[in-house]
Amino acid sequence: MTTPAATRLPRASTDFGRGLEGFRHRPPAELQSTGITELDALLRGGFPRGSVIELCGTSSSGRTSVSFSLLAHATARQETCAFVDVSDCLDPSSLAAAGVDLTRLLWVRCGNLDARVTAKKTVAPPKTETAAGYAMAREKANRAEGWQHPRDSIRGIENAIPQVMGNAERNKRVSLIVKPPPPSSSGMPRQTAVPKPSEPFERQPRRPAGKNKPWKILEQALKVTDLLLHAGGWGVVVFDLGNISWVDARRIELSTWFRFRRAIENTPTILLLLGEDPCAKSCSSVVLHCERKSENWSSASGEGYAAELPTFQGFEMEGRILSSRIGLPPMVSAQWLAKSLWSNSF
Amino acid sequence: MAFACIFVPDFPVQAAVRLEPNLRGKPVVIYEGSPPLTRVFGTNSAAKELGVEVGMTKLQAEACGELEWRWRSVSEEATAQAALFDCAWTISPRIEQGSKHGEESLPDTVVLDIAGCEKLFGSPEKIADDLKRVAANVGFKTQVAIAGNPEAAICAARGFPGITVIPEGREAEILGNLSLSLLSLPVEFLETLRRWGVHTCSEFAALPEIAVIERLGQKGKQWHRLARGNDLRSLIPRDFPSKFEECMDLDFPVDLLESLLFVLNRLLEQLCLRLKMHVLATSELTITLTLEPSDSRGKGRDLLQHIRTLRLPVPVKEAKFLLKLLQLDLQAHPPVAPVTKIHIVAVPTRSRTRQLGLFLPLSPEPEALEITLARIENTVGEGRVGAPALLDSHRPSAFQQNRFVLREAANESAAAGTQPLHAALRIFRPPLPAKVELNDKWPAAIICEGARKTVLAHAGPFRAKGGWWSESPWARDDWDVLIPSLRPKYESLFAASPGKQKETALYRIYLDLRSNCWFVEGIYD
Repeated sequence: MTTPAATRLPRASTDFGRGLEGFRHRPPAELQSTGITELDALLRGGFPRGSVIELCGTSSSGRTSVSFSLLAHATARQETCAFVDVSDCLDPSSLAAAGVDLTRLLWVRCGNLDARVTAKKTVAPPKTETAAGYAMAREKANRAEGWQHPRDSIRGIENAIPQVMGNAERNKRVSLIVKPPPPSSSGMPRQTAVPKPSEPFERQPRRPAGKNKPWKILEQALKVTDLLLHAGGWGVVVFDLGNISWVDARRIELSTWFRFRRAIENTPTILLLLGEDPCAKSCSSVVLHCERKSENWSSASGEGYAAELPTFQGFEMEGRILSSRIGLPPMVSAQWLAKSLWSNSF
Repeated sequence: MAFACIFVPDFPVQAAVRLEPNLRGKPVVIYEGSPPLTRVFGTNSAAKELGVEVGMTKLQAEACGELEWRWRSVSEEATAQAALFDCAWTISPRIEQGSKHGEESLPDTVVLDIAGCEKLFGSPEKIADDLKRVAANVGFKTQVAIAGNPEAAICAARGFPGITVIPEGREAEILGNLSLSLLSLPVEFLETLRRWGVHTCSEFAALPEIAVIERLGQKGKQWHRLARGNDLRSLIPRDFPSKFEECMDLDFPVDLLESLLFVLNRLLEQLCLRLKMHVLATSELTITLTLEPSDSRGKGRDLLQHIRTLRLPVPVKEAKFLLKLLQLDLQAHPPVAPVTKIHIVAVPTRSRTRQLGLFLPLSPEPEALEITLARIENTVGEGRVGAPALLDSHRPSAFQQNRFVLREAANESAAAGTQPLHAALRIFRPPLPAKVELNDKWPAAIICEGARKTVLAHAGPFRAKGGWWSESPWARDDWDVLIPSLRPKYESLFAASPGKQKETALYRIYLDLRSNCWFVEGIYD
């Protein structure tokens, strides 16, 4: 056997041991390089395979760029990857610019709620009714007798409170009593966005606009991710919650993340979560917080350019480890640059 | 030279029983014709023991005892015949459908040239045994005979049960005891011979040839040779089929998916078995469901059909896998009426061969991936699952989504060198409509999603145009702007204090020059 092959095969006598010894002395997880030298140095080699990784940060924090770089490196190794696009916001041009082999990437665009197909028992619908008729019947039932689902009746109430409260100066004298929500009997997670009475009531979590139905889209995306992870064979699976409010993302039950982690344990698959806030809690092996530090704007000059024509050259970002289950020191950070496609110097 | 013949007795019944194994061993009758002229077209031996004969009316047949009956299906008989040909092709590539003296075809008989097959398959007895076993796998009870010429083999297969091997030169001796009716003579000549007192082949073969020719003509000469078992003619081989078909007429319309899947499973198992006999697989499967007409007037018109085609990225020959894909496809695209007939066509292709290695790059199993993709499509909708592909166009973000196909691993993977990190763009689909306040041609503020955001920095404009020669021309001015985030993590509760928002973001906005409208295209992240 050649030397490279010998080093890649685990040695049964020393690496695994016998029985409980083998369980205690597990070989370290293989690391997947992210393609960013500074980040790889921070992570001591890259993201661990067979684990859940979270990249969190606000808008324009650079987390999508990091995920594209990881995908580029994975597809360069001829691994098949998947991107679960919860909000349908993936840009193939950016993927190609990052060096991702598009033919090795499966793109699943969630959000089309009309196309959901539930398990149908009948081959043919009843002759007197059609799918449109069923929808109309549901709407009719909802409107009948003025009945509304309790969830629908309180929808939008948080947006109505500012209108009731009015001017901040006038309401300084008003004390708002906020009772903690009753314990949930069904085990549904509580919304963590309710502020404590002692904190100034000035800001609230962003609510999705209009009719996006984020929870239904999330259900769709979670089902898709579950199917992908249990099918197996993926190098990287990106679950993009970047456009989903962290309030909705935190409603995903912890058992779901446990299920995902269990599905990829002892496999080379990396599940990469992009979101505003960490939501997988103890299921994630590394939680990396991304933040944009500064932007770079430069003026184009030379023949053919208008005087002082500014161009966006990119931005500098910082990644900080919030938590890690693989022995990385917390709150350690690194900085790197994200350049635009047309950037000539930085 | 040697020829083998496979004969399927009671072929119409066996064609029906092949797809319904639960009928084996029971008395089965095949009816043909519309009432009140319904007649018995075919019976099996169990029904014959009860007294049922071909040509009886339905009432007469039902009076004989408890019977299982089915309507005659020409399409099922055609697919059964195709299955019989497949059995013959497993031994020899030169096969011919059995015929009456090379003229009228016999659907229940297949003749094959087995010259040169002894070295591959063994002695003629072994070849006959293999043919019988292969036909039994497909669902036929057959009689097999091997002789020196095709007509002798046909007579022996139709006349003797089990396996019959006629050594060369002894055809007349062995076929002598067979009745003249097996030679498929015209009725009037048969009657003539019976009046002469000639009942068996040996008695007819004993007549002088010249006298037979004088009285019966050239046809008589041909039949005389048949009776002696030395009618030499060459086979006209059939072409290998370009597709494999299975068909089933349902006795009553089926409107439940589970029941339909039960029938589909039977048909797919037969189809895959036939493909495996030829060491083939299929990469394209077309299922045609004939639907029940909605009213009686529709019976005379063109029947409604629900046609679905599965195109597989890799050749497949597993019935279970094909059934799962069909199930997912029919769940997503159910027919609009109950189903009365099922027709499946599989396009044959070579089986996939690949050499596995120890250190292959990670990829899903192709069969499991197909099922997963079908399930995902059922969840998110058609056309939303696939691999992205850029279009050859200058229009920004011009792309399409192609069907996802697993790529074979190259011998050497591309070296993943260090590339600079590129700022990715997240696109809003559809773009967010916006209003922009300009200050001396530069954007000063953006009003989008009910909020007004001051522009903190900007770059642009960058003009792009295209498609002016087509029906969809486009022209736009792009800007990169830095503004307070349109969708911050926390938003201010009071509209009067927007300045407290510290979260900013980089957006790409553009002015559509044709409509003079502003849009927010995406956000750099």
